[in-house]
Amino acid sequence: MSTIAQQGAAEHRMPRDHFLNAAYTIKSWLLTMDHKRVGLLYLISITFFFLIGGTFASLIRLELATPEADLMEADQYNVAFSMHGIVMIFFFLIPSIPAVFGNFIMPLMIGAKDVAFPKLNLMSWYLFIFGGTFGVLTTLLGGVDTGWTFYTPFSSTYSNSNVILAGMAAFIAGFSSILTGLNFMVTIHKMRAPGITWFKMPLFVWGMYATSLIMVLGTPVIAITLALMMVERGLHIGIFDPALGGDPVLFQHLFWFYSHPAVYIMILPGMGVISEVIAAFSRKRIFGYEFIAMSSVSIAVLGFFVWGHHLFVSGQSIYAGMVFSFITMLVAVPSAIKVFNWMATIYRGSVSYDAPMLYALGFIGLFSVGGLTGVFLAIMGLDIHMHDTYFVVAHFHYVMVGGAVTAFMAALHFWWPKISGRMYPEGWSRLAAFLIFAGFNLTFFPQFIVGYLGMPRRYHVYPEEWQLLNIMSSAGATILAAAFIVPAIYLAWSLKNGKISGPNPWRATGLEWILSSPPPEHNFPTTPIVEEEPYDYGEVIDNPVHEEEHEKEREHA
Amino acid sequence: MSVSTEAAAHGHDEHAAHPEYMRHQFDDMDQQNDAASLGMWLFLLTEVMFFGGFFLGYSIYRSEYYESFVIGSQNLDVFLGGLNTVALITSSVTMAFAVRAAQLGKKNHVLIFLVLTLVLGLVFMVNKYIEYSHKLHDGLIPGYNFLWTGLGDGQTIQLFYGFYFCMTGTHGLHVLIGLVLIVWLLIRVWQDKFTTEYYAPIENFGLYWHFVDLVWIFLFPLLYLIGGLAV
Amino acid sequence: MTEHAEHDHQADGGHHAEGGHGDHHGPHIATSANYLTIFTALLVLTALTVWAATLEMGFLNTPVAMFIASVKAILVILYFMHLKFSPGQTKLAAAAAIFWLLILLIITFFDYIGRTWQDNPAGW
Repeated sequence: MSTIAQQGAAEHRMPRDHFLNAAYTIKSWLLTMDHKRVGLLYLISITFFFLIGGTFASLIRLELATPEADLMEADQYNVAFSMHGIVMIFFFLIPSIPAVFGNFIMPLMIGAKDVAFPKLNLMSWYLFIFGGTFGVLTTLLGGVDTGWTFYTPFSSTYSNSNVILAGMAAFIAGFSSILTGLNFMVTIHKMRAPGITWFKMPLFVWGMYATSLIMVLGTPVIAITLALMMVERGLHIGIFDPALGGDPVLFQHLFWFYSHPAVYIMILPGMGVISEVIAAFSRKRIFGYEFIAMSSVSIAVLGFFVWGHHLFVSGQSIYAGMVFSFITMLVAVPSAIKVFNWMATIYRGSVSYDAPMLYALGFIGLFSVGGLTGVFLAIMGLDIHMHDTYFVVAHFHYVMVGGAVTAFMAALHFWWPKISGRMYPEGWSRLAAFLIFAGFNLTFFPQFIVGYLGMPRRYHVYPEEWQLLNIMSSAGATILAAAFIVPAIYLAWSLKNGKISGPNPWRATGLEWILSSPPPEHNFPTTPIVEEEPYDYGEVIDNPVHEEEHEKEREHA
Repeated sequence: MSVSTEAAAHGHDEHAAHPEYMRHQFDDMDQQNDAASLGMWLFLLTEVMFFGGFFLGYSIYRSEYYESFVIGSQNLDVFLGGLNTVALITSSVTMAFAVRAAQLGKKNHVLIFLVLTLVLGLVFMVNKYIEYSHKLHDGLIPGYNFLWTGLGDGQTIQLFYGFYFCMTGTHGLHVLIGLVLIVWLLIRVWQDKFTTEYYAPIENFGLYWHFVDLVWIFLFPLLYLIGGLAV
Repeated sequence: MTEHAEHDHQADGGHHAEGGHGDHHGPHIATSANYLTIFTALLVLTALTVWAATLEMGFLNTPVAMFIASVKAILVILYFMHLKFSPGQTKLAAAAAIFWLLILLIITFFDYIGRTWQDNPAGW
């Protein structure tokens, strides 16, 4: 396999001044107004929460290795899966790509000096940490057992766990997400350099725009929902308690009005990353640019019309269910448009298989499986059989881990040289990508089968005949956990010992690659003026002489 | 990718000429003002969705327990509610005049109108305090001590009061935050921080204040006027 | 909107030197008379909504009250908040707020109304 990294023979030197060595004090990090440093603060924080969430996941798979309850009792198991969900969703997946790479890369991509509101940006991180503190506190005090969905009246009346603390954690983290989305929207609207019109923006920026739209429109509703749930738990007014005249289904409506679009908060940035990576490693202009851009926006908008498919068996009216079912299937259309366009981009491209591309290819396959099984679940009749089984668990892990986390890894490997100025070891990075892909499939594919056979989610015991499939799943989880440790080690190693990458190790297009790696503290000395289309890879292949000239030009810059 | 690196008109060398109120990430004041205004509108959008959750819950239970909502509503003081409506609308117009004075660069007028807005906001809060303490006295605070002795189903009447307090409470919190911000603005105006080119904080606070007024415009008929008024 | 964004970054040096706020969206400064007219209208509508509540209109009471409130809201948004004189993207943001609020309200209500059809198939 050829990789781009192997082709780059030139020796590079680290730039003399960059944003990382601009200042070393703790204060220069904790009070930073630099979007790049804020991005890194997020990277460190979400890695911490990924570890917590991953620990709970390990406990779950350990317990499920045997049909009996040997590691945990039912109550403890409830806490394990609830905390796994809450931490992973609110504190890892939702901030993952937007808060880390959206912050770090997006302003560079559009040639901006910073995001529109740098102070607000830093404040978002502090809110995230404040919310996260509540999350950690919940864990230390024994966790919460309502599931990440906080369904009433269990959460508001019957649960004996730390519901209010966990609710506060999600509530506060929500405001961090709102402010980030708001900041990004204004940045994309108002801070683009001359020449970057809407349809010349990199597709990652389109992905961030669509994501921000959901963050801004949806997140306030979850905030108010959780607030009402906490009021109900404190005062027992009866807002969601059927015994007192309330309607628990109303809670589910309000909850999923945000929480379904939130799934697209997790996947849309990933799709943006994949569009960048596929084009760069196929050395081709992206196929169907406008379609990919518009499908991001239409997924974001359509995503607000489908929440009722979580309520098919909750007592929602059948007529509402039919409409929700239909619109849910429509979401498959823009998603498929993206997949076809990526395939068409790869087709007859000059593809190289560096680690980011391996993750991107994995993403396409895993996301397709996750998306198509979503269409199964959108069918009301089938959903009655599958609802709350491991089929659902496997489906959304294919989208969230196979999709969002894989895309996060792709982004990390694609932009790591830009962030750190150094390359990671190639062989190890490709090995890790394979291991994650294999471990992931071994973990979650058996869950489709065991779910279809009828194993319900959220139980710590199960009949013996399902043990083989569960052991496969637990074995896969072990591989997956080990595979995530590998990048952590070599990325840390590369910070000191990695080969110096130079400004553009992938020879990719885009404004972020004309800057030195790591970028200077003040992004662009002069506002750049862009005349080219995005993803202008065509000439690169056809005319190698031209390419060399470009190289010189870049060094000049 | 060929990117021209020639200095755009508002390049680095102009830096020295920038006024202190211009933030470094912007190229010029137009861009800064536009960004601030768009940011404020997007923030109000999130506020609409935030209150939207209340309005949804309110509407569902109102249609379900209409009788109880009528009883609960008729127990509210329409006079005080109406007075508050007038106070907020008036404060909205004084705020609009404050922004206008800022646009024209008339410092004294800005101060006068901001103080008027502040006073009217305080009137609103005092009224709200009177209303709340009456409810407290009558045992109508939802929760374990809720006491309903009149006609009707006490449980669902409590639901009405639950929404009444959640909605007016959240709204009142917004008024309170607004009052604090007015004081902050007053200090900034006093210190001559604003010019006819840079008055975005006053203008954007105005947007916030009008939004608070808007919410009340809907809360008043929804909470105080259900099922008609007995004359 | 594309053109608008380009305009904001207009790269000709003379643009700012010449005339401060150029041709594009300088601040709209309303007249005092305009504000006072709107203010009067808002007060009249408030009185109207209280008066309308005293009338026996059956199921119409709520729609009438909501209609009056909406008119008041539109007046505040257009004139006090200057939406009428704002750039397209601001109008878009305001429209989005109303649109998404309606999604939340209407679709959820559709479920609640649909449930009564289910109990009474003849009503469908």
